[in-house]
Amino acid sequence: MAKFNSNKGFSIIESLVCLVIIGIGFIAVSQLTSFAIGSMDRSMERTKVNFLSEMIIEDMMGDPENATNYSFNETCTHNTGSESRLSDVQKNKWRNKLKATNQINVDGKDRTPKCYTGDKKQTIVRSDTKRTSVRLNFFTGGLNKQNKHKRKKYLGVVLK
Amino acid sequence: MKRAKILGFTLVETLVAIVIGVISVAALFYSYQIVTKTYQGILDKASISRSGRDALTMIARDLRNAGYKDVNYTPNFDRWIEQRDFEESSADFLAIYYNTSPNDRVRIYYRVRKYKNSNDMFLGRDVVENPVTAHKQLLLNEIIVPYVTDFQVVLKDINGKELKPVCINCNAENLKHGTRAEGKANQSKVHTAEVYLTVRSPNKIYQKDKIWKIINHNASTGRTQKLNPDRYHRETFFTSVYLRNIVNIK
Repeated sequence: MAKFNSNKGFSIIESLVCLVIIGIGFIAVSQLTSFAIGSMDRSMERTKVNFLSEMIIEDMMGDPENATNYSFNETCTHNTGSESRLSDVQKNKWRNKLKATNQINVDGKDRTPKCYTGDKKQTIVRSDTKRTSVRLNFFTGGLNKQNKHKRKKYLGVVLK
Repeated sequence: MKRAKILGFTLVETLVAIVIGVISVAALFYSYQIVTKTYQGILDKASISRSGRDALTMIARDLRNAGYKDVNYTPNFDRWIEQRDFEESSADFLAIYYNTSPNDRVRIYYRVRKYKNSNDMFLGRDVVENPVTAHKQLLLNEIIVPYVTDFQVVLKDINGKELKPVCINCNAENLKHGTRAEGKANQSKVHTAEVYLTVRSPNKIYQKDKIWKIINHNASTGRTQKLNPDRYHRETFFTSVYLRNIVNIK
């Protein structure tokens, strides 16, 4: 009589290892999808930041004689200032646009862009007898482990 | 001959295997659905981002050219920019005029219109060469952004105050803010143009209905759009352009 093989199927260890491998696969896929969503949101944010930085430069180009009045340095707190000069009006506009004030309201809440510690929107105006130039710094996405800004955008323009 | 003890799977083993199999297939199907839905959502968001970016870049370029007059252009040049409340939708209508050569001038219309068999709207761009002349010719009539929820144009003077009306062919809505003569004269006071564009995703993204209110600009103008609850995603893009050619028209 032939002897039966004692190995009848998978052992419990083999089954568990298999389940763990499949689980790792699922986790990887879910991480991938959340990363893809995050990337898309960051891409959208960058598109908007590009337009906002253009807005700032365009407003300064429209008033080059008073460019030095357009110094701007904002973090996540935006305080509306007085509006005695055009530069003040424009800077208040920037504040509102950076916060996306009065644009979209979803389920009763205004949708505003995320702002993290370390985020900064800054204009640095340099003016001498020959020319006036502006440098725009946009730091978004907060700080990384090395305490450096995660996302940076610089724009430099000679105004006159 | 002695019968073999093990002939196959027992009933319990088969049932356990079926249960495990069903759970695995359900998990696979569920994760496939999630991945497909997420992928679709990402595609839709990418589509919104691309449409918004391309359209605003195009509009900004046209606005920078608005009012450009070639030094050798001799015909009457009295139209540079117009902003009207467009009756077909609650959005705005923007007209831009500039020279493309010493003999030619283009008129560009941006307006939000409805698709023929649906309530969905798109942003169209019509380019007409030499309007208001016998040589009038339609160069382009294209959809630049599908699924638009709102398009608003705010024209401001040198002090940052909103100018209204700014039009030549003003409609009844524009004339509530001033006369036709004021509308024409206001063209030369325009210093900055602000553009808001709200784009909707082509497909439903969210699991539950959301209540959307599109404000874009200022709630005090009464232009707020409260939409019926739906599962679409929307984004507003904003740009502001200094109208250097109009400012320099003497």
